[in-house]
Amino acid sequence: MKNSQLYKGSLVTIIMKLLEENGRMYGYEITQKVKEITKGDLNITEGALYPALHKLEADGLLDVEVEKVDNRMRKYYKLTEKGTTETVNRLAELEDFIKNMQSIVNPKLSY
Amino acid sequence: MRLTSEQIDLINRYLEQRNLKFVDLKVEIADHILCEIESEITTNNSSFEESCKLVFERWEPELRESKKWLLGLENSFPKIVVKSLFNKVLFHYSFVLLTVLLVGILLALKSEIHFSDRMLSIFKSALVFFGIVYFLLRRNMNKTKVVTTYSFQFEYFYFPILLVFVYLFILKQSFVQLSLLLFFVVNLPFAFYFYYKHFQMVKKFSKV
Repeated sequence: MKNSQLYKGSLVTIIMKLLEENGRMYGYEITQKVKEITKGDLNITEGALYPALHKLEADGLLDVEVEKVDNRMRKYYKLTEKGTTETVNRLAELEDFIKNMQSIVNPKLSY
Repeated sequence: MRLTSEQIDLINRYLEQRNLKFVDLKVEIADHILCEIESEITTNNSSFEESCKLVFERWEPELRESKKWLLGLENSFPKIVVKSLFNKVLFHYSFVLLTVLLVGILLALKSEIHFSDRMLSIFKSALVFFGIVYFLLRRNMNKTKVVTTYSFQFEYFYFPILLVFVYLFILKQSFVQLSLLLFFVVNLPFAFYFYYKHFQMVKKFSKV
């Protein structure tokens, strides 16, 4: 993942936000969507993505669906009820973080 | 461009050779790699072989075999599997072992503690009961002939538990017997959870 530490802490929130917007997604789709939104600036590696997805699943925040697509099985992830609530909390937390960072890094632009 | 069934089988077989045996992880890693190969063929007009070579070169650090003592010294898995498994098992193992250790130490410190013969026979009966429960759960899981990360976690404590179970009847100290009983009891909800999740996963894959 690009710029390591700064983005690492937000990986889970990024995944949850994407799932909230798109309903259900599979691993490769998540990496491509992030690349597309950030115009290739942010690249989520599979080595970071799958452990994060599995942790969210183990915590009961994500549920799994399996479907046959193009002659193979595909595992989709979607938010559980608990996951949807948690997404709201994490996004609010991230927004607060961004606001505070803005105040520190660029006080003139902060509100 | 869509890959043929033969090409997909080839990738699946290669991943199995790389020791990617847990079906719940193998399916999504295979799908991810196949998507990348398809994208490579479409975008750069490369051949299947060229695309495979390029994609697997990129995946090599994640597919390289790796070990973690917590997952068993005799086990080695691709790095991406180790990362996922380690997170999953850390809480389970720490919780069970620390609880048992703590209670065991507390009981050992209370040297005046004494259990009647009746209590000891109740401990032993409870241990036999939990031993049978473990055995039956494991037998049912093995019947599915599918290995998941959940069956791995269930299995991890099975053999130590069996050894302890046999050893138990040689030991005379009641606090040791109580600690062993506690080991069974604390681990049992986890065992049921892994059993349930394993069958849930098997059901999801068999429906497809």
